[in-house]
Amino acid sequence: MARATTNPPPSQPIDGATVVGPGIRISGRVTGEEDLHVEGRIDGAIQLSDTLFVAPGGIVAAEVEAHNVVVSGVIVGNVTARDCVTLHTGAKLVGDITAPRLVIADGAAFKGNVRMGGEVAPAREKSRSVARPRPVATGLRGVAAANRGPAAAAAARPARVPPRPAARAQEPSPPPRAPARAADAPRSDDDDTVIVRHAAVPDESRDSGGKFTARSGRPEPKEAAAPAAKAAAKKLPPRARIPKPGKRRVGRR
Amino acid sequence: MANTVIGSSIVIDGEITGDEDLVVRGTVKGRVSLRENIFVEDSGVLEANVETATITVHGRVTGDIHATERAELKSNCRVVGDIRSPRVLIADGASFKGTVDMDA
Repeated sequence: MARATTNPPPSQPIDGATVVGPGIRISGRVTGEEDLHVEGRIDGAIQLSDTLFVAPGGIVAAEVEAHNVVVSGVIVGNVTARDCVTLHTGAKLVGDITAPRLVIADGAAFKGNVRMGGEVAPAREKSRSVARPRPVATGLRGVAAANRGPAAAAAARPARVPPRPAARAQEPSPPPRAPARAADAPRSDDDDTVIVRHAAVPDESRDSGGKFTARSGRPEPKEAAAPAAKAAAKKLPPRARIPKPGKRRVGRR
Repeated sequence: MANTVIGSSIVIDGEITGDEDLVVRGTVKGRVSLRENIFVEDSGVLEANVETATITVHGRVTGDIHATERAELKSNCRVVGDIRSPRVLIADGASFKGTVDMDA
């Protein structure tokens, strides 16, 4: 019933119509104002003001815009029809369909969104923007690469976002160190040199305060330095301990 | 009758490859690579580099033609480009601009 009413033209190639035979592969953009029968393969994009027929064995991996689309073969890509999309038995369609009328026969396979709004033009844009990423995830690699640059970029964006916060999270850690160095050891850029100065400089208190802040990442070196200075002043042994290893080594040697 | 026909209102921008006859009544831009025969009919326009076994041109071809067997330019055709083919036939009234290499 449905088939009889909804596919007026027969799917046999008529003289004068455009046919892409089974041994032919077209990659690129196909536009025209007549019927197109695909028995071979078309990759890219199809824009017709008439009917696209995809015969059994025909493969269309393309963004399709046509008046009618009659599928007995395979279409991978979004389909927009001004009138009707018909999926016959044995047809496979992966992608979103935008058409006022859609007929899916028993035995046809379809995966994607359907939009049957009366206003095709605005609805088409919405359905694309909303649904594009989905077919990309469902294995439309070729088409995705060819036709969905923006979608692919959109899909890639979330993956790129996390590194930025991570980078930002790492960035704040240096600033606390920088003031510590600036206050205690303006010339030293490496932590190693700071440590060396601890051993060398007799006034250890300030350096030790700076060192603690640098390692703990506390932003206020002065407050930490003050108690540390008193502690260091009281506890001379720590300063004395530093040379000890050298003495011991000497002694051992 | 598995001929591939590009109808007169069809424009293809890209690449056509395959191993069967191709009849061009519309416009094909880009590249055509076949192992069989190409017929460019009166209304056909080929703006492409062509590799094929034989090509018969009634319409217009802009681009280099490499035919492994035969290239035939019929009367009223217009061809701009180099032709490389062991057999080149140019009919009276055909318009051709380019070089011919029959060593291939």
